[in-house]
Amino acid sequence: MANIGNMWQSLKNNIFQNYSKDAGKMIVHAGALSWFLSSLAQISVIVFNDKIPPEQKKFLIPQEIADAVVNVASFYIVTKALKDMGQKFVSTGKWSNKAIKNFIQGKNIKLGDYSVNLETTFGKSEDFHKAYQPFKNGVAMITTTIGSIISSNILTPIARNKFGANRQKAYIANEKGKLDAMSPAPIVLPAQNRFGMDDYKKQVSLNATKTSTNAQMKI
Amino acid sequence: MINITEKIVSKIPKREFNGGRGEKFINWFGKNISTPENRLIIGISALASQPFIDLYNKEVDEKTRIISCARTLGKTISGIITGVAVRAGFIHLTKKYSELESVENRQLKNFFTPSKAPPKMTYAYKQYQNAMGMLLAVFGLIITNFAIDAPLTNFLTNHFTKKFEGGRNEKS
Repeated sequence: MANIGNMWQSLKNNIFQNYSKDAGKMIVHAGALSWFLSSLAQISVIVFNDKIPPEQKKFLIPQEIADAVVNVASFYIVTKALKDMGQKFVSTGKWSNKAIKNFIQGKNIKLGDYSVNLETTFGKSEDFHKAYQPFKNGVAMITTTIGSIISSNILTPIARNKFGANRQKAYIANEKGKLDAMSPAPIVLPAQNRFGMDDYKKQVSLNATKTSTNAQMKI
Repeated sequence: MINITEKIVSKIPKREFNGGRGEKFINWFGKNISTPENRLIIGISALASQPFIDLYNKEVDEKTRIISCARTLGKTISGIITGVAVRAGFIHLTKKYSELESVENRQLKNFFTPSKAPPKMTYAYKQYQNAMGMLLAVFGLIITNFAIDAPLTNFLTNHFTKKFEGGRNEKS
């Protein structure tokens, strides 16, 4: 019991240390996880919805799987890239405010230089965090939200539709191919246009061979 | 990736915010927008873009386009309802049970308070409360995704499909 208590305390402290100074990070991680869970539920919706015709299901299921893969991947990659970029604008001092500028005054720091990292230089100062955190967090939340919109609402639907349509086309072509193979061979009349009993028997045995081959293929 | 970021950062002009509208907006956004609001913004912008992307997808037939658009609408609406409500609910719950003041004989009030928490409410602690609430919301979403989201999406998809197909038949 004491161990569970310790584990709970350490989990809370870990969350506090990892996410309290970076709200954007939490949005990226939790967002990717919740998109994954949501997609899992949505796939089950299509599978168990009797009112969606099978032909449409063949499009919608791969569309939903593509949606899940693209959504989680693009959400994580695009949103994280934009969040990191926004963070870089602030940590290098490319974007700053009066409070940050006042704090670094007289400290020989060239704001806007890519090599500058205000967080590592002044990370231990309480005054720095008071001046820096609200601004950094605001920029992180804005860039994270923009990243989420681009990835979830523009990139994902375009990519998933492309993927879903290709899967549907492939499925239809495959089904058509099967149907063509299953249909009996056309009856060919002999050259002299006389179709006797012997010819009929030959044709029936030819069709039977073809059908049994197809049946084996289906299995 | 580092080089791309470096190039973009070096190209973006240096900007100092001096307490004007821009800075006020940045501070307001950081203070007031957390995961429920973020989910709401994504949802509303999804309603404005995704159904049209599906509806004008020329690579599939008209019937598939209609069902695809109806499903996107159903999925987005149910996603907004459950996503925002579950996130907001769990963040509210976390805030209620992560008080900083030591409350004698009322340990429940400190259930989510970490031992490394600062003695007074700080900006970072508020972010922790949001993060813990969101983490709990992810577990909540596992249940609501199947119990509410999925059937609601189903219902809305069928509803919108009927409506769109009715409209199409009337036109023809």
